Amino acid sequence: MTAAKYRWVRAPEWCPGCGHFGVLQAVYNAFAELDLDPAKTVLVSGIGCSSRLPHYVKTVSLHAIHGRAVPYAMGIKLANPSLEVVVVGGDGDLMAIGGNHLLHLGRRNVDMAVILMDNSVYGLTRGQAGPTLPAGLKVKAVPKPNLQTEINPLLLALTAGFTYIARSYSYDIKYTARLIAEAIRHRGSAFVHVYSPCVTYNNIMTREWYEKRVYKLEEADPQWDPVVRHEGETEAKIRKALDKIVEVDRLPLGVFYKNELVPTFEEKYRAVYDSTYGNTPPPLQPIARDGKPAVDLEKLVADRLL
Amino acid sequence: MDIKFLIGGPQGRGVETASFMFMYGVGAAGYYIYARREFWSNIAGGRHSYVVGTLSNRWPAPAPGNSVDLALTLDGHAVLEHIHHLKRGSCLIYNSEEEAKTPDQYVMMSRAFVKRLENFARELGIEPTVGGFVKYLREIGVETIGVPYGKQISEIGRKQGIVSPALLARFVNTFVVALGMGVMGLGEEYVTRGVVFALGKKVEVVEQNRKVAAEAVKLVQPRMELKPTVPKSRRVFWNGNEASALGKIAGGIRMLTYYPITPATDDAMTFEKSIPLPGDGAQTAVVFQAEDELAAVAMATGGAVAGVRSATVTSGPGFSLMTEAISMAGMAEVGLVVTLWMRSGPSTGQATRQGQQDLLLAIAGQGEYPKIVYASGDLEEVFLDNVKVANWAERYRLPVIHLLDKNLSNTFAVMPLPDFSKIEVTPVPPVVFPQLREVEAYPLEEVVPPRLLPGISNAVFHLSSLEHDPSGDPEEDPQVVVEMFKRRMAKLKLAEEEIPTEDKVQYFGPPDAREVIVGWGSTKPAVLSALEELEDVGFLYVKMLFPFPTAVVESWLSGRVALFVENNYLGQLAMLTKACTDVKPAAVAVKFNGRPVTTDDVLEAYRKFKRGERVIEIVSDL
Repeated sequence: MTAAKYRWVRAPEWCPGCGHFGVLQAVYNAFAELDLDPAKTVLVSGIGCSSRLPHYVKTVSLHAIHGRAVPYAMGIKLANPSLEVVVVGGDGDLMAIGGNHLLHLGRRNVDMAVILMDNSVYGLTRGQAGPTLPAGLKVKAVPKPNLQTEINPLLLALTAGFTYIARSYSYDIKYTARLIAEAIRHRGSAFVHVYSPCVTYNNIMTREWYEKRVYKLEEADPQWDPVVRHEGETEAKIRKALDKIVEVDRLPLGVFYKNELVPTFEEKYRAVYDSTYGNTPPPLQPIARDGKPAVDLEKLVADRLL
Repeated sequence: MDIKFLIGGPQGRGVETASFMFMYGVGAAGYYIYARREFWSNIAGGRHSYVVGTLSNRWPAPAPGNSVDLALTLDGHAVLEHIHHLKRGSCLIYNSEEEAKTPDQYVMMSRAFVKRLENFARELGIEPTVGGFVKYLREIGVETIGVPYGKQISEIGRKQGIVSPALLARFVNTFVVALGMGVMGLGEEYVTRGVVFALGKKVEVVEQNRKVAAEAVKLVQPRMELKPTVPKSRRVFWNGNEASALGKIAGGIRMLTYYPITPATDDAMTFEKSIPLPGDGAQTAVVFQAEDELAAVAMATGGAVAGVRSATVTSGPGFSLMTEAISMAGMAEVGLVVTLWMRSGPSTGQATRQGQQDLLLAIAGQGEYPKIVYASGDLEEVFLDNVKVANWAERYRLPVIHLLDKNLSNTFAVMPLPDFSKIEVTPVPPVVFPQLREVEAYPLEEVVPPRLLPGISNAVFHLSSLEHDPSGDPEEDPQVVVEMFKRRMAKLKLAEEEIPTEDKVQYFGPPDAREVIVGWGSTKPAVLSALEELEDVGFLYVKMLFPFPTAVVESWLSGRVALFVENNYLGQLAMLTKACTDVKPAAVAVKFNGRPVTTDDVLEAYRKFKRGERVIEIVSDL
């Protein structure tokens, strides 16, 4: 399918010039590049401007409640591992109210991708400070400078155990599409941090602000290689990623870390609980035959009988 | 023949093992058992813990009352805890080596209880020691059997060549159970079977305990004549958590998510232990311990979106966190089972104690959406109702709150195996299109939307927590809002029409009784046992709490006198009945001390009601 074919009937309801348009186009492009089957792809979001994105895409989608996109998505993925599951959300949704879920997705390494659309403000409630707004900045809708120190989303993702960690900038659609496609293709939990400026409420971190700061890792260093190719180099690659993640004066874009040697949660579940998990996903297995339980109840209670 | 028993001792020091030995041994002799466990919210802190129950040659075995026929105590603390639960003709087995100890020497005893004991002793002129209280019990007609546990166990150990540095601590549970079995008249064989069951695979440990039991059982004279009997049915030995998990599996639940919380966790743990499930081509299930209840309910909802029957299990505190997501399941129209194991609140409250305080919470929720709130009252219902709620969640595509409680979770029963032929599992087949289609997830003309599944239906569709139009996209046009609202709410009427009356409300006792006790959930066995001793009193047992079965309840209660009995402070079912029917409750009997309503409680409440009391507070403590 072409990128245009992934467009849903409704037009986006974002402010003109919003960074999210770039992410949306990048999602179309990435889905087209991967030729995803819209009926087997599920976009999941929480609440916020960015969380409206699934409504503009022709795939199955679940627009859930604030902060919980990640566990909804995990439930979908674990119930049917053959689905392609992608979470989108803003910094308030994924880093503040939903921060805990992000941590735990990382350590599980469920095979799905999370796209953070970061504009450092709460747009839909009119411009309060987001969890990624640097301390000391005063955005226009709030009366005082921000007292709370910002979260570095990639630092969090690395600590949590995400096995694919990348960052992009929404006005660079081509680059964003490439990283999103790579994240979806990645085997394990992938995290893509996209700077996606809010033109209405973030009067500081604007397009100009970002474009003065961002640079691409592979352009700055042609030898840049974030991929862990054997277990022995894991620690070294984590340290290299860390070194770049903590940069704040300039903002590196690109892939910081990628490790497919870590088993996914699905693989571990199969190894530990049930060797048939994944062959036929639970929704395709019969639960009843002629109205009677498909499970062998006699065997189930056998060791409890007197 | 019925024997009411209890086995008590310091928590974490063998009292649970002792109770398993006892129950399995008695079960092996052919009896039915209905018992429950009471314990503190600690693991092995040595607080007093006990199992109280009834063994019987009939089923249902009578529910526990406020006194027992036989008390097996592991230490002097246990004797003191239960002096008020013994009466003329009861039999107490205790350690005579602790006779000189005073209540305050048991450091794990509640200070408030020490004071009450001391006051009681002062008032009655009892010497405030274990021995003094035992003497008092003897005077009121309790048969007290003092055995020097330490001395006897040491002797047995020497005789049998058992070398263990802490003989008393290691064998006291087996020793006491054997004394109890001896007093009841059951021989060594049944003690041994209990020992093997409770201690399982550890061959050497089993052998040593078996030897101790064989000697101990001979130390006492039989005082009851419990003969091995042949049960009328195949029997299962399980607790409420286990019955619930197995019911889920029978009902096709294939994803269970949870965050650890008492008394729900063992539901999930039993489910987990059953994976892979037995049965051809139907063995895969997912169990998941989430990071919190917010995630647990969201994951289960996600599982249901993907097409798997999904459930999450929790208790009041966790359920409170789930409120928003349960509302979302109602809005996005996802079939979801939430098993709410109520416990004693408010807040953290008494984590390991009984309460029915969350009825109105379960019904209320955030915003208005269709849901079913359904309660079970005994272990057979816990098992079979789990199948029903799983069917309903999928049939009506809404959240079903299955109300259970701590009393049920820790009820242990040797009981007839439920009739599997009664189980019906009714999956709703998904819609499958031959070619990729964009479809409305919420067509206006369907009360229950077609079952669309990602990856299976060949369809593109949007589900949303926002008010939406039939396509699932956000919509706030007032007319569309009303249409969508009414369409969703029409599920309630459909469920009311389709679900049989006997699944909603049941009536027991004389059909034209003028006085009717009304209750719900786990008070059922106690009320039914009490009914045997009351003349011309009926019992209206409400299982469907939402949508409330107004017409049926009115038809049973109009023109009669209704006494509500509940395990909460407010009398929440009475409140609900007042709100939903023309019925005016005559009286409400409530118990909110964290202990279940017993048979004697119901009888006492009824007596007080006859004396004119209208708000009756039940305070018994067994």
